[in-house]
Amino acid sequence: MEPVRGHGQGAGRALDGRTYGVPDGTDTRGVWFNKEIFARAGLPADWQPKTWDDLLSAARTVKAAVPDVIPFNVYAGKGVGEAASMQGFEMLLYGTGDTLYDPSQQKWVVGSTGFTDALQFLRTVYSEGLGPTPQQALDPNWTNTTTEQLIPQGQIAISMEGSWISQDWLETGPMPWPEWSTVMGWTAMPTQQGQAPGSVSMSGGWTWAIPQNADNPDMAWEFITLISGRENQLKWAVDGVQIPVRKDVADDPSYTAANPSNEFFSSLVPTTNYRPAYSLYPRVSNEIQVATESVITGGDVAGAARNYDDQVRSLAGDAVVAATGS
Amino acid sequence: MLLTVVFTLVSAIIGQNVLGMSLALLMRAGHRVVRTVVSAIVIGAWVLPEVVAGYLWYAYLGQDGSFNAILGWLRLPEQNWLFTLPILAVSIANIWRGTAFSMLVYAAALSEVPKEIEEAATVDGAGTWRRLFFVTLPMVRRSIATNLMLITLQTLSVFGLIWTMTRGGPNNQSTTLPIFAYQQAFQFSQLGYGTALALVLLLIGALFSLVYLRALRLGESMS
Repeated sequence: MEPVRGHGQGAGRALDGRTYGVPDGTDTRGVWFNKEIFARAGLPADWQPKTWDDLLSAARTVKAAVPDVIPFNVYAGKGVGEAASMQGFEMLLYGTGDTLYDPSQQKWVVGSTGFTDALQFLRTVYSEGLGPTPQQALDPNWTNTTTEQLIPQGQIAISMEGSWISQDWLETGPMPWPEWSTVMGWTAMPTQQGQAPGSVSMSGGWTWAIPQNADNPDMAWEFITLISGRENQLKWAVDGVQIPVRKDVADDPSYTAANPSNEFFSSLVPTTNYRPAYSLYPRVSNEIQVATESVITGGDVAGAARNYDDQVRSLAGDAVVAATGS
Repeated sequence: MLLTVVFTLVSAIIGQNVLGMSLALLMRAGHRVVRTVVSAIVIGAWVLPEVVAGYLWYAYLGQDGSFNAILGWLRLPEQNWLFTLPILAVSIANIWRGTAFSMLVYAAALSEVPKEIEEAATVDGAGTWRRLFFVTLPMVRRSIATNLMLITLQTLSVFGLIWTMTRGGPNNQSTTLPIFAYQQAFQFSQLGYGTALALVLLLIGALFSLVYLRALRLGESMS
Protein backbone atom coordinates (compact mmCIF):
# COMPACT_ATOMS: atom_id res chain seq x y z
CA MET A 1 0.00 0.00 0.00
CA GLU A 2 1.09 3.57 -0.69
CA PRO A 3 2.82 4.91 2.42
CA VAL A 4 0.90 7.41 4.51
CA ARG A 5 2.37 10.83 3.99
CA GLY A 6 3.92 13.27 6.43
CA HIS A 7 2.28 13.46 9.82
CA GLY A 8 -0.77 11.59 8.56
CA GLN A 9 0.17 8.41 10.36
CA GLY A 10 0.13 10.23 13.71
CA ALA A 11 -3.64 9.97 13.69
CA GLY A 12 -3.65 6.30 14.63
CA ARG A 13 -0.66 6.22 16.95
CA ALA A 14 -1.26 5.22 20.54
CA LEU A 15 0.57 6.04 23.75
CA ASP A 16 2.93 3.08 23.34
CA GLY A 17 4.13 4.45 20.00
CA ARG A 18 2.52 1.69 17.95
CA THR A 19 -0.03 2.39 15.25
CA TYR A 20 -3.36 0.63 15.74
CA GLY A 21 -5.58 2.02 13.01
CA VAL A 22 -5.59 2.84 9.31
CA PRO A 23 -6.74 6.45 8.84
CA ASP A 24 -9.46 6.98 6.22
CA GLY A 25 -8.72 10.65 5.84
CA THR A 26 -7.92 13.59 8.04
CA ASP A 27 -8.70 17.27 8.31
CA THR A 28 -6.74 20.45 8.91
CA ARG A 29 -7.67 23.83 10.30
CA GLY A 30 -7.01 27.38 9.24
CA VAL A 31 -8.50 30.83 8.89
CA TRP A 32 -11.45 31.56 6.58
CA PHE A 33 -12.30 35.14 5.65
CA ASN A 34 -14.96 36.92 3.61
CA LYS A 35 -13.28 38.81 0.76
CA GLU A 36 -16.32 41.06 0.18
CA ILE A 37 -16.26 42.30 3.77
CA PHE A 38 -12.48 42.65 3.51
CA ALA A 39 -12.88 44.83 0.40
CA ARG A 40 -15.30 47.11 2.25
CA ALA A 41 -12.82 47.39 5.13
CA GLY A 42 -9.91 48.06 2.76
CA LEU A 43 -8.17 44.78 3.55
CA PRO A 44 -6.45 42.72 0.82
CA ALA A 45 -8.11 39.73 -0.85
CA ASP A 46 -4.86 37.77 -0.59
CA TRP A 47 -4.60 38.43 3.16
CA GLN A 48 -1.92 36.40 4.91
CA PRO A 49 -1.63 37.14 8.63
CA LYS A 50 1.85 36.40 9.98
CA THR A 51 1.22 36.81 13.71
CA TRP A 52 -1.65 36.90 16.21
CA ASP A 53 -1.40 40.69 16.15
CA ASP A 54 -2.09 40.64 12.40
CA LEU A 55 -5.31 38.73 13.13
CA LEU A 56 -6.36 41.20 15.83
CA SER A 57 -5.56 44.28 13.78
CA ALA A 58 -7.54 42.95 10.80
CA ALA A 59 -10.47 42.24 13.13
CA ARG A 60 -10.23 45.77 14.58
CA THR A 61 -10.17 47.25 11.07
CA VAL A 62 -13.31 45.29 10.17
CA LYS A 63 -15.03 46.36 13.39
CA ALA A 64 -14.36 50.02 12.62
CA ALA A 65 -15.25 49.90 8.92
CA VAL A 66 -18.09 47.34 8.80
CA PRO A 67 -19.75 47.57 12.22
CA ASP A 68 -22.75 45.34 11.48
CA VAL A 69 -20.80 42.05 11.09
CA ILE A 70 -18.98 39.81 13.55
CA PRO A 71 -15.32 40.63 12.84
CA PHE A 72 -13.64 37.49 14.16
CA ASN A 73 -15.24 34.19 15.19
CA VAL A 74 -13.14 31.95 17.47
CA TYR A 75 -14.96 29.05 19.12
CA ALA A 76 -14.82 28.98 22.91
CA GLY A 77 -16.78 27.62 25.86
CA LYS A 78 -18.59 24.38 26.62
CA GLY A 79 -21.58 25.00 24.36
CA VAL A 80 -19.78 24.07 21.16
CA GLY A 81 -17.79 21.31 22.84
CA GLU A 82 -14.69 20.01 21.07
CA ALA A 83 -14.81 22.83 18.48
CA ALA A 84 -13.82 25.22 21.29
CA SER A 85 -10.85 23.03 22.19
CA MET A 86 -9.66 22.20 18.71
CA GLN A 87 -10.68 24.93 16.23
CA GLY A 88 -10.23 27.53 18.93
CA PHE A 89 -7.88 27.08 21.84
CA GLU A 90 -5.47 24.42 20.57
CA MET A 91 -4.91 26.30 17.30
CA LEU A 92 -3.66 29.14 19.49
CA LEU A 93 -1.72 27.06 22.02
CA TYR A 94 0.19 25.00 19.46
CA GLY A 95 1.24 28.26 17.78
CA THR A 96 3.01 29.41 20.93
CA GLY A 97 5.45 26.51 21.00
CA ASP A 98 3.78 25.04 24.08
CA THR A 99 1.65 21.89 24.00
CA LEU A 100 -0.91 20.06 26.10
CA TYR A 101 1.17 16.94 26.48
CA ASP A 102 4.84 16.08 26.59
CA PRO A 103 5.20 12.83 24.65
CA SER A 104 8.84 12.23 25.68
CA GLN A 105 7.91 12.17 29.36
CA GLN A 106 4.35 10.95 28.70
CA LYS A 107 2.99 13.66 30.95
CA TRP A 108 0.37 16.42 30.71
CA VAL A 109 1.82 19.92 30.71
CA VAL A 110 0.57 22.50 33.21
CA GLY A 111 1.54 26.10 33.91
CA SER A 112 2.84 26.95 30.43
CA THR A 113 3.15 30.55 29.26
CA GLY A 114 1.54 29.58 25.97
CA PHE A 115 -1.57 28.43 27.78
CA THR A 116 -2.00 31.81 29.46
CA ASP A 117 -1.18 33.67 26.22
CA ALA A 118 -3.83 31.71 24.31
CA LEU A 119 -6.44 32.50 26.98
CA GLN A 120 -5.39 36.15 26.92
CA PHE A 121 -5.87 36.21 23.13
CA LEU A 122 -9.43 34.89 23.53
CA ARG A 123 -10.11 37.41 26.28
CA THR A 124 -8.92 40.23 24.02
CA VAL A 125 -11.12 39.09 21.14
CA TYR A 126 -14.26 38.83 23.27
CA SER A 127 -13.71 41.82 25.57
CA GLU A 128 -13.03 44.20 22.68
CA GLY A 129 -16.23 43.04 20.99
CA LEU A 130 -14.27 41.59 18.06
CA GLY A 131 -15.91 38.19 18.45
CA PRO A 132 -19.50 37.01 18.80
CA THR A 133 -21.32 37.81 22.04
CA PRO A 134 -20.79 35.19 24.77
CA GLN A 135 -24.46 34.35 24.44
CA GLN A 136 -23.97 33.44 20.78
CA ALA A 137 -20.69 31.62 21.37
CA LEU A 138 -22.12 29.45 24.17
CA ASP A 139 -25.21 28.42 22.20
CA PRO A 140 -24.91 24.63 21.66
CA ASN A 141 -25.84 25.07 17.97
CA TRP A 142 -23.36 27.90 17.33
CA THR A 143 -21.09 25.90 14.98
CA ASN A 144 -24.05 25.14 12.69
CA THR A 145 -25.31 28.71 12.91
CA THR A 146 -21.97 30.04 11.69
CA THR A 147 -21.30 27.67 8.79
CA GLU A 148 -24.88 27.24 7.58
CA GLN A 149 -26.20 30.72 8.22
CA LEU A 150 -23.91 33.57 9.24
CA ILE A 151 -20.90 32.90 6.98
CA PRO A 152 -23.01 32.40 3.80
CA GLN A 153 -25.04 35.51 4.71
CA GLY A 154 -21.85 37.55 4.95
CA GLN A 155 -22.24 38.16 8.69
CA ILE A 156 -18.79 36.94 9.76
CA ALA A 157 -15.57 38.47 8.44
CA ILE A 158 -12.94 36.06 9.81
CA SER A 159 -13.45 32.60 11.30
CA MET A 160 -11.01 30.02 12.64
CA GLU A 161 -12.47 26.93 11.06
CA GLY A 162 -11.92 23.46 9.72
CA SER A 163 -10.92 22.43 6.22
CA TRP A 164 -14.28 20.73 5.72
CA ILE A 165 -16.73 23.60 6.09
CA SER A 166 -17.27 24.11 2.33
CA GLN A 167 -18.99 20.70 2.49
CA ASP A 168 -22.05 22.56 3.84
CA TRP A 169 -22.09 24.85 0.80
CA LEU A 170 -21.90 22.22 -1.93
CA GLU A 171 -25.00 21.46 -3.95
CA THR A 172 -25.53 18.38 -1.80
CA GLY A 173 -24.98 20.20 1.49
CA PRO A 174 -27.49 21.72 3.92
CA MET A 175 -26.83 25.29 2.68
CA PRO A 176 -25.98 25.33 -1.04
CA TRP A 177 -23.92 28.44 -1.77
CA PRO A 178 -22.35 28.29 -5.24
CA GLU A 179 -20.55 31.63 -4.80
CA TRP A 180 -18.60 30.45 -1.76
CA SER A 181 -15.34 29.88 -3.58
CA THR A 182 -15.20 33.44 -4.89
CA VAL A 183 -16.55 35.16 -1.75
CA MET A 184 -14.47 33.27 0.78
CA GLY A 185 -10.72 33.27 1.13
CA TRP A 186 -8.64 30.91 3.24
CA THR A 187 -5.22 31.15 4.75
CA ALA A 188 -3.05 29.40 7.32
CA MET A 189 -3.36 30.13 11.03
CA PRO A 190 -0.24 32.13 12.00
CA THR A 191 1.90 31.27 14.99
CA GLN A 192 1.95 33.70 17.91
CA GLN A 193 4.94 35.84 16.86
CA GLY A 194 5.38 34.33 13.42
CA GLN A 195 7.92 31.85 14.79
CA ALA A 196 8.82 28.75 12.75
CA PRO A 197 7.20 26.97 11.03
CA GLY A 198 5.16 30.15 10.51
CA SER A 199 1.76 28.50 10.62
CA VAL A 200 -0.10 26.02 12.74
CA SER A 201 -2.85 23.49 12.17
CA MET A 202 -4.61 20.82 14.21
CA SER A 203 -5.84 17.56 12.75
CA GLY A 204 -8.20 14.80 13.68
CA GLY A 205 -9.89 12.07 11.76
CA TRP A 206 -11.11 8.52 11.92
CA THR A 207 -9.28 5.25 11.60
CA TRP A 208 -10.24 1.70 10.77
CA ALA A 209 -9.02 -0.82 13.32
CA ILE A 210 -9.59 -4.49 14.01
CA PRO A 211 -10.58 -5.41 17.58
CA GLN A 212 -8.41 -7.97 19.32
CA ASN A 213 -11.30 -10.43 19.66
CA ALA A 214 -12.64 -10.03 16.14
CA ASP A 215 -14.24 -13.23 14.78
CA ASN A 216 -12.75 -12.85 11.34
CA PRO A 217 -9.72 -10.53 11.39
CA ASP A 218 -8.55 -11.66 7.94
CA MET A 219 -11.74 -10.58 6.26
CA ALA A 220 -11.74 -7.33 8.26
CA TRP A 221 -8.24 -6.67 6.99
CA GLU A 222 -9.33 -7.44 3.44
CA PHE A 223 -12.17 -4.94 3.84
CA ILE A 224 -9.85 -2.26 5.20
CA THR A 225 -7.48 -2.88 2.30
CA LEU A 226 -10.36 -2.48 -0.14
CA ILE A 227 -11.73 0.79 1.27
CA SER A 228 -8.25 2.22 1.72
CA GLY A 229 -7.40 1.63 -1.93
CA ARG A 230 -6.62 4.56 -4.19
CA GLU A 231 -9.97 4.75 -5.99
CA ASN A 232 -12.12 4.52 -2.88
CA GLN A 233 -9.99 6.97 -0.92
CA LEU A 234 -10.15 9.43 -3.80
CA LYS A 235 -13.95 9.27 -3.98
CA TRP A 236 -14.25 9.64 -0.20
CA ALA A 237 -11.83 12.58 -0.14
CA VAL A 238 -13.72 14.40 -2.91
CA ASP A 239 -17.29 13.72 -1.75
CA GLY A 240 -16.62 14.25 1.94
CA VAL A 241 -14.23 17.21 1.54
CA GLN A 242 -11.63 15.14 3.38
CA ILE A 243 -7.89 15.68 3.48
CA PRO A 244 -6.37 12.52 2.00
CA VAL A 245 -3.77 10.57 3.94
CA ARG A 246 -2.54 8.78 0.81
CA LYS A 247 0.05 10.76 -1.11
CA ASP A 248 -1.17 9.51 -4.49
CA VAL A 249 -4.70 10.69 -3.70
CA ALA A 250 -3.51 14.10 -2.51
CA ASP A 251 -1.49 14.50 -5.71
CA ASP A 252 -4.33 13.36 -7.96
CA PRO A 253 -5.40 16.21 -10.26
CA SER A 254 -9.09 15.31 -9.86
CA TYR A 255 -8.80 15.77 -6.09
CA THR A 256 -7.34 19.26 -6.36
CA ALA A 257 -9.80 20.16 -9.12
CA ALA A 258 -12.83 18.98 -7.15
CA ASN A 259 -12.78 21.82 -4.63
CA PRO A 260 -10.75 25.04 -4.84
CA SER A 261 -9.80 24.87 -1.16
CA ASN A 262 -8.57 21.25 -1.29
CA GLU A 263 -5.03 21.94 -2.42
CA PHE A 264 -4.42 24.54 0.27
CA PHE A 265 -5.81 22.63 3.24
CA SER A 266 -4.10 19.45 2.06
CA SER A 267 -0.80 21.34 1.96
CA LEU A 268 -1.06 21.96 5.73
CA VAL A 269 -0.62 18.26 6.54
CA PRO A 270 3.20 18.27 6.88
CA THR A 271 3.10 20.83 9.73
CA THR A 272 -0.14 19.85 11.41
CA ASN A 273 -0.50 18.66 15.01
CA TYR A 274 -2.53 15.84 16.49
CA ARG A 275 -4.24 16.03 19.84
CA PRO A 276 -2.97 13.80 22.62
CA ALA A 277 -6.04 11.67 22.06
CA TYR A 278 -5.54 9.35 25.03
CA SER A 279 -8.21 8.18 27.43
CA LEU A 280 -7.81 11.26 29.63
CA TYR A 281 -8.11 13.71 26.74
CA PRO A 282 -11.93 14.16 26.77
CA ARG A 283 -11.77 15.35 30.37
CA VAL A 284 -8.75 17.58 29.74
CA SER A 285 -10.57 19.00 26.72
CA ASN A 286 -13.58 19.69 28.94
CA GLU A 287 -11.31 21.66 31.30
CA ILE A 288 -10.02 23.66 28.32
CA GLN A 289 -13.61 24.50 27.40
CA VAL A 290 -14.31 25.56 30.99
CA ALA A 291 -11.22 27.81 30.99
CA THR A 292 -12.15 29.45 27.66
CA GLU A 293 -15.76 29.92 28.77
CA SER A 294 -14.52 31.66 31.88
CA VAL A 295 -12.32 34.16 30.03
CA ILE A 296 -14.85 35.03 27.31
CA THR A 297 -17.47 35.81 29.95
CA GLY A 298 -15.10 38.24 31.66
CA GLY A 299 -13.21 35.96 34.07
CA ASP A 300 -9.54 36.69 34.65
CA VAL A 301 -6.91 34.78 32.68
CA ALA A 302 -4.58 33.85 35.53
CA GLY A 303 -7.45 32.41 37.55
CA ALA A 304 -8.76 30.33 34.65
CA ALA A 305 -5.26 28.98 33.91
CA ARG A 306 -4.68 28.15 37.58
CA ASN A 307 -8.01 26.35 37.76
CA TYR A 308 -7.11 24.34 34.64
CA ASP A 309 -3.77 23.35 36.18
CA ASP A 310 -5.47 22.23 39.39
CA GLN A 311 -8.06 20.21 37.54
CA VAL A 312 -5.50 18.52 35.28
CA ARG A 313 -3.36 17.70 38.33
CA SER A 314 -6.29 16.02 40.01
CA LEU A 315 -7.27 14.18 36.80
CA ALA A 316 -3.82 12.97 35.78
CA GLY A 317 -2.23 12.45 39.19
CA ASP A 318 1.50 11.88 38.73
CA ALA A 319 1.37 12.16 34.95
CA VAL A 320 1.76 15.96 35.06
CA VAL A 321 4.80 18.09 34.37
CA ALA A 322 5.23 21.82 34.93
CA ALA A 323 6.21 23.65 31.75
CA THR A 324 9.88 24.54 31.53
CA GLY A 325 10.79 28.18 31.93
CA SER A 326 7.77 29.04 34.03
CA MET B 1 -28.22 18.00 42.30
CA LEU B 2 -29.89 21.14 43.65
CA LEU B 3 -30.73 22.07 40.05
CA THR B 4 -32.42 18.70 39.59
CA VAL B 5 -34.61 19.33 42.64
CA VAL B 6 -35.40 22.88 41.48
CA PHE B 7 -36.24 21.61 38.00
CA THR B 8 -38.51 18.91 39.43
CA LEU B 9 -40.22 21.24 41.91
CA VAL B 10 -40.83 24.07 39.47
CA SER B 11 -41.72 22.14 36.36
CA ALA B 12 -43.46 19.03 37.69
CA ILE B 13 -44.82 19.54 41.19
CA ILE B 14 -45.82 23.17 40.75
CA GLY B 15 -46.10 23.73 37.00
CA GLN B 16 -47.53 20.58 35.45
CA ASN B 17 -49.55 19.62 38.52
CA VAL B 18 -51.25 22.95 39.20
CA LEU B 19 -51.74 23.84 35.55
CA GLY B 20 -53.07 20.35 34.78
CA MET B 21 -55.55 20.57 37.66
CA SER B 22 -56.64 24.09 36.68
CA LEU B 23 -57.20 23.06 33.09
CA ALA B 24 -59.15 20.00 34.14
CA LEU B 25 -61.35 22.08 36.47
CA LEU B 26 -61.92 24.80 33.90
CA MET B 27 -62.70 22.31 31.18
CA ARG B 28 -65.31 20.63 33.37
CA ALA B 29 -67.18 23.91 33.35
CA GLY B 30 -66.38 24.82 29.74
CA HIS B 31 -68.41 24.37 26.59
CA ARG B 32 -67.98 21.13 24.65
CA VAL B 33 -66.31 22.84 21.67
CA VAL B 34 -63.86 24.71 23.90
CA ARG B 35 -63.12 21.46 25.68
CA THR B 36 -62.34 19.63 22.47
CA VAL B 37 -60.11 22.39 21.09
CA VAL B 38 -58.16 22.92 24.34
CA SER B 39 -57.55 19.24 24.94
CA ALA B 40 -56.43 18.78 21.32
CA ILE B 41 -53.86 21.57 21.70
CA VAL B 42 -52.59 20.42 25.10
CA ILE B 43 -52.36 16.78 24.09
CA GLY B 44 -50.60 17.84 20.88
CA ALA B 45 -47.72 19.10 23.02
CA TRP B 46 -47.67 15.77 24.83
CA VAL B 47 -47.59 13.77 21.60
CA LEU B 48 -44.60 15.66 20.14
CA PRO B 49 -41.29 13.80 20.50
CA GLU B 50 -39.10 15.22 23.27
CA VAL B 51 -36.37 16.39 20.91
CA VAL B 52 -38.83 18.18 18.62
CA ALA B 53 -40.39 19.93 21.62
CA GLY B 54 -36.91 20.89 22.84
CA TYR B 55 -35.96 22.32 19.49
CA LEU B 56 -39.25 24.25 19.26
CA TRP B 57 -38.53 25.89 22.58
CA TYR B 58 -34.91 26.53 21.66
CA ALA B 59 -36.11 28.31 18.51
CA TYR B 60 -38.82 30.16 20.42
CA LEU B 61 -36.68 31.44 23.31
CA GLY B 62 -33.42 31.96 21.39
CA GLN B 63 -31.91 35.37 20.84
CA ASP B 64 -33.39 35.68 17.35
CA GLY B 65 -36.40 33.57 18.30
CA SER B 66 -40.12 34.20 17.98
CA PHE B 67 -40.58 35.20 21.63
CA ASN B 68 -38.14 38.10 21.29
CA ALA B 69 -39.82 39.10 18.05
CA ILE B 70 -43.14 39.29 19.90
CA LEU B 71 -41.58 41.21 22.78
CA GLY B 72 -39.94 43.60 20.33
CA TRP B 73 -43.25 44.17 18.58
CA LEU B 74 -44.85 44.97 21.94
CA ARG B 75 -41.89 47.29 22.66
CA LEU B 76 -40.91 45.24 25.69
CA PRO B 77 -37.25 44.51 26.55
CA GLU B 78 -35.75 41.33 25.08
CA GLN B 79 -35.23 38.25 27.20
CA ASN B 80 -32.43 35.73 26.88
CA TRP B 81 -33.42 33.09 29.40
CA LEU B 82 -31.59 30.31 27.59
CA PHE B 83 -28.44 32.21 28.54
CA THR B 84 -29.28 34.05 31.77
CA LEU B 85 -31.71 31.65 33.44
CA PRO B 86 -31.52 28.34 31.55
CA ILE B 87 -33.15 26.31 34.32
CA LEU B 88 -36.27 28.50 33.97
CA ALA B 89 -36.25 28.06 30.20
CA VAL B 90 -36.11 24.26 30.38
CA SER B 91 -38.69 24.25 33.19
CA ILE B 92 -41.15 26.21 31.07
CA ALA B 93 -40.58 23.82 28.20
CA ASN B 94 -41.17 20.84 30.46
CA ILE B 95 -44.38 22.34 31.85
CA TRP B 96 -45.60 22.99 28.31
CA ARG B 97 -44.85 19.46 27.31
CA GLY B 98 -45.99 17.59 30.40
CA THR B 99 -49.17 19.37 31.48
CA ALA B 100 -51.37 17.23 29.25
CA PHE B 101 -50.62 14.15 31.32
CA SER B 102 -51.76 15.77 34.58
CA MET B 103 -54.75 17.25 32.84
CA LEU B 104 -55.90 13.86 31.56
CA VAL B 105 -55.44 12.18 34.94
CA TYR B 106 -57.33 14.93 36.76
CA ALA B 107 -60.09 15.18 34.19
CA ALA B 108 -60.74 11.46 34.66
CA ALA B 109 -60.67 11.79 38.45
CA LEU B 110 -62.97 14.82 38.51
CA SER B 111 -65.55 13.12 36.34
CA GLU B 112 -65.88 10.50 39.07
CA VAL B 113 -66.81 13.10 41.70
CA PRO B 114 -70.59 12.79 42.20
CA LYS B 115 -72.46 15.97 41.28
CA GLU B 116 -74.81 15.53 44.29
CA ILE B 117 -72.07 16.07 46.86
CA GLU B 118 -70.94 19.32 45.30
CA GLU B 119 -74.54 20.45 44.97
CA ALA B 120 -75.14 19.61 48.62
CA ALA B 121 -72.12 21.73 49.57
CA THR B 122 -73.51 24.63 47.56
CA VAL B 123 -76.86 24.28 49.27
CA ASP B 124 -75.05 24.33 52.62
CA GLY B 125 -73.64 27.70 51.64
CA ALA B 126 -70.08 26.85 50.59
CA GLY B 127 -68.53 29.26 48.08
CA THR B 128 -66.62 28.17 45.00
CA TRP B 129 -63.17 28.09 46.68
CA ARG B 130 -64.37 26.41 49.85
CA ARG B 131 -66.15 23.79 47.76
CA LEU B 132 -62.98 23.20 45.77
CA PHE B 133 -60.61 22.89 48.71
CA PHE B 134 -62.84 21.06 51.19
CA VAL B 135 -64.99 18.89 48.95
CA THR B 136 -63.70 18.35 45.44
CA LEU B 137 -59.91 18.14 45.97
CA PRO B 138 -60.09 15.81 49.01
CA MET B 139 -62.22 13.46 46.94
CA VAL B 140 -59.58 13.18 44.21
CA ARG B 141 -56.55 13.16 46.56
CA ARG B 142 -55.56 9.64 45.58
CA SER B 143 -55.35 10.63 41.96
CA ILE B 144 -53.30 13.66 42.99
CA ALA B 145 -50.80 11.47 44.85
CA THR B 146 -50.52 9.00 41.99
CA ASN B 147 -50.14 11.76 39.44
CA LEU B 148 -47.52 13.55 41.54
CA MET B 149 -45.49 10.38 41.81
CA LEU B 150 -45.64 9.68 38.08
CA ILE B 151 -44.74 13.19 36.92
CA THR B 152 -41.99 13.54 39.52
CA LEU B 153 -40.29 10.35 38.36
CA GLN B 154 -40.77 11.39 34.74
CA THR B 155 -39.30 14.84 35.29
CA LEU B 156 -36.36 13.60 37.34
CA SER B 157 -35.18 11.65 34.32
CA VAL B 158 -35.81 14.29 31.62
CA PHE B 159 -32.78 14.30 29.33
CA GLY B 160 -33.61 14.97 25.67
CA LEU B 161 -35.42 18.23 26.30
CA ILE B 162 -32.54 19.81 28.22
CA TRP B 163 -29.88 18.33 25.97
CA THR B 164 -31.55 19.79 22.88
CA MET B 165 -32.11 23.21 24.41
CA THR B 166 -28.93 23.94 26.37
CA ARG B 167 -26.62 20.87 26.57
CA GLY B 168 -26.68 21.57 30.32
CA GLY B 169 -25.04 24.97 29.87
CA PRO B 170 -24.08 27.70 29.95
CA ASN B 171 -21.66 27.26 32.82
CA ASN B 172 -23.52 24.05 33.89
CA GLN B 173 -26.51 26.11 34.98
CA SER B 174 -28.96 23.61 33.56
CA THR B 175 -26.94 20.45 34.18
CA THR B 176 -29.40 18.21 35.99
CA LEU B 177 -28.33 14.78 37.23
CA PRO B 178 -29.22 12.85 34.06
CA ILE B 179 -27.19 15.32 31.94
CA PHE B 180 -24.27 15.14 34.35
CA ALA B 181 -24.39 11.35 34.47
CA TYR B 182 -24.42 11.18 30.66
CA GLN B 183 -21.41 13.49 30.39
CA GLN B 184 -19.40 11.52 32.92
CA ALA B 185 -20.30 8.10 31.54
CA PHE B 186 -20.27 8.64 27.80
CA GLN B 187 -18.21 11.76 27.13
CA PHE B 188 -15.49 11.26 29.71
CA SER B 189 -15.64 7.43 29.72
CA GLN B 190 -16.24 7.39 33.50
CA LEU B 191 -18.79 4.58 33.44
CA GLY B 192 -18.45 3.87 37.16
CA TYR B 193 -19.11 7.45 38.15
CA GLY B 194 -22.03 7.69 35.74
CA THR B 195 -23.56 4.55 37.22
CA ALA B 196 -23.14 5.89 40.74
CA LEU B 197 -24.95 9.08 39.70
CA ALA B 198 -27.77 7.02 38.23
CA LEU B 199 -28.10 5.27 41.60
CA VAL B 200 -28.33 8.63 43.35
CA LEU B 201 -31.08 9.58 40.93
CA LEU B 202 -32.86 6.34 41.81
CA LEU B 203 -32.60 7.22 45.51
CA ILE B 204 -34.07 10.70 44.98
CA GLY B 205 -36.93 9.15 43.03
CA ALA B 206 -37.49 6.62 45.81
CA LEU B 207 -37.53 9.39 48.41
CA PHE B 208 -40.18 11.37 46.53
CA SER B 209 -42.21 8.18 45.99
CA LEU B 210 -42.11 7.35 49.71
CA VAL B 211 -43.46 10.79 50.57
CA TYR B 212 -46.32 10.40 48.10
CA LEU B 213 -47.12 6.84 49.13
CA ARG B 214 -47.25 7.99 52.74
CA ALA B 215 -49.64 10.79 51.77
CA LEU B 216 -51.76 8.29 49.90
CA ARG B 217 -52.00 5.90 52.86
CA LEU B 218 -52.80 8.78 55.18
CA GLY B 219 -55.67 9.61 52.85
CA GLU B 220 -56.99 6.05 52.98
CA SER B 221 -57.07 5.89 56.78
CA MET B 222 -59.01 9.12 56.84
CA SER B 223 -61.73 7.95 54.52
